[in-house]
Amino acid sequence: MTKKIAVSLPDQTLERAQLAVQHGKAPNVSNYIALLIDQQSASESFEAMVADWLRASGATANTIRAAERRALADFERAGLVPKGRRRREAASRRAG
Amino acid sequence: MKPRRAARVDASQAPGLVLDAGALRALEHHDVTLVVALRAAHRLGLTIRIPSAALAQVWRGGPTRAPLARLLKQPATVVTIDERAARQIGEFVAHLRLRDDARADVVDAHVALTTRATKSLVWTSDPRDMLRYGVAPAQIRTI
Repeated sequence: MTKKIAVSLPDQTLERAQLAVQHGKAPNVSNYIALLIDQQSASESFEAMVADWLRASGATANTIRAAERRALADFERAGLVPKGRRRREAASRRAG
Repeated sequence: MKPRRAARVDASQAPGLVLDAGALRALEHHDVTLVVALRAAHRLGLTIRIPSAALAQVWRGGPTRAPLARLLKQPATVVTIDERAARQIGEFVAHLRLRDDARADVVDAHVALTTRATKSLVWTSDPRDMLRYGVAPAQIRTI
């Protein structure tokens, strides 16, 4: 079931949505907005799920940071992310 | 539109993470390194795959499986074994040369084939199994 509502979008945002539709991301702008909302909610719930698990694990912030570094190193080794990304991200964090 | 649930078809061959039964058990105990890796993979847009045979090995229902049940509601991909996959696994196992008269394990073969086919990183509690099934060392992460 769907419900019709009025949504105001900045011109540029609407243009980007229309462009996405032209590129086949969704059949129309309404569907495209629904898709983005859906993806965003899934993403938020994934983060919430992981946050629950990390709380349950009792891991300290240091342990989690070390695990993040290890995970990115594993991803690099397996070719899942370009080599050097980890170092660039660390430098970026230090810079700012 | 309903929230996106675990896809039942492995539509993409994009690289990502593959979880074997040992990894799924570790998840039930909130293994920090695995949980953090899943979050990193999610943020990078990498696919998380659970071979259905590995899922069958650990899934017994009940509250202790709650973490796994939650993951299955996420955009993780359960890699099912259809007829084509079953034939591939069977042929793969038939061509394996295992030492010590070890018997080929269909579940391990499914995990290994999924990892190899998608050039992913497999999280496993038994790296020797994955090596025996031809997964490259760089694509193996031991729990």
